Amino acid sequence: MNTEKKPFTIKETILNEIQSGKVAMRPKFFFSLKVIATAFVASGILLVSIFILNFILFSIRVNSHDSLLGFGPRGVGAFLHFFPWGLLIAGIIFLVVLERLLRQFRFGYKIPTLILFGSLILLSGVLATLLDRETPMNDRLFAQSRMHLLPPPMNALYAGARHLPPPQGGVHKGIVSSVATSTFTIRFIDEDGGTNPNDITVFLPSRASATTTGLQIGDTVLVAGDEEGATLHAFGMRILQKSK
Amino acid sequence: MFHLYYILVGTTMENLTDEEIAKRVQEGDREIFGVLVDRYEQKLLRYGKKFLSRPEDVQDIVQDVFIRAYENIQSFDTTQRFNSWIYRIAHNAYVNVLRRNVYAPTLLDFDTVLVHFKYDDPSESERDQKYMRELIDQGMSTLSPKYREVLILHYFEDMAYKDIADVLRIPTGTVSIRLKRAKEALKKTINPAHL
Repeated sequence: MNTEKKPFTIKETILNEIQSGKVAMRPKFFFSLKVIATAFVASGILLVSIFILNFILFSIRVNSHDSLLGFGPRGVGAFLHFFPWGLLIAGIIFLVVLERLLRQFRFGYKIPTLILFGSLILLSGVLATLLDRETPMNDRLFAQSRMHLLPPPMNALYAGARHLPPPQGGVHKGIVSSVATSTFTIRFIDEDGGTNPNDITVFLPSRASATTTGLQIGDTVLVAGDEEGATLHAFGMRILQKSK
Repeated sequence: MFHLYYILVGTTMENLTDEEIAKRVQEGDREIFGVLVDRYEQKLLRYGKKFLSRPEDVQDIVQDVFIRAYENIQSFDTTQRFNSWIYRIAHNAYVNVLRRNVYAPTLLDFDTVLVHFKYDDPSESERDQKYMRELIDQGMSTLSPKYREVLILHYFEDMAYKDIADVLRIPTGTVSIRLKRAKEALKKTINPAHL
């Protein structure tokens, strides 16, 4: 008589383990909790991404760097030079993580990566723009940072939002102190909002569109150009605020 | 006693769908899980043997798949297809085996980046299907796992593009483009005269 024991089949093994309690069902609330946690983390990442993009827009606005885009190829080059690339990379990384998270859900993996990622960028961009342009949040936080009222990381972030270009950097915000036919003088605005007492003479480019018409003493302007001592040969100029 | 109960009720289970059975398991009827094991054991073994280049351990892997399926049965949405769900668990298990050996999946799969419109081949007759199966069997080892798995799921497991998309968690258009590319790759490497 053959007393050799037949090995268990897959089904027998599994059913025995279920019956003995060795294998047990995870409770439903475990999965519900997992979904809630994932949704919570995804929402958090989305909010951080929106905040980062919003801060980039605020940084461009507070430094008036968007004006550089109207100064031709050299202006675009200056804009790209001053752009907060580190923040943009951080924002993109967060959006990539968010896209990966969303792929765990059915609606996420059914959509091609480009469309899902593009949609996230569009959504974040629109909300970031609305947050910066339509709410006083950034301006209030900026004002509070100057009085050191914000928690340290936020204070450092907002306090550093407005920054002067490096010396001889060729981009200056200033207040017009005198106006001539094809030149004018300005006093630079420093980081604290005060003015440097030394005037600098700005020479406009020799083209018909470059004129001091409309420029008045007291106007706040952004100029970009090549500096030579106390003179600046501008390739672009924009009035940011008219004198009161 | 457990097995006697199973034998007695087993015959009435034939009319129940996989999803209905899964729902009963979720509600506490542990024994009925054996019906699902019966229905899927051979399918998952076949899938594993074709997908893995070294199929010696497929039995153990399939056993683990069923255990994982039971442990996570409460996560299964009974309004969706059980077939896709359990094949997804099996797919993950087989991919993990490949990762331990050879296969290193890329961070970004370019097939899933762009929009691909679904490319159906409605004219594929039974003869073509048989031809493809022979071709796949011959040329399996020459294909990357990415192409191998779509061919196996479509031609051996008879899955529709939508179900394959759920198993692999990729867009349906990507399934269609991968199948097209996989067939082209196979035809290039295999001399049909050898069939």
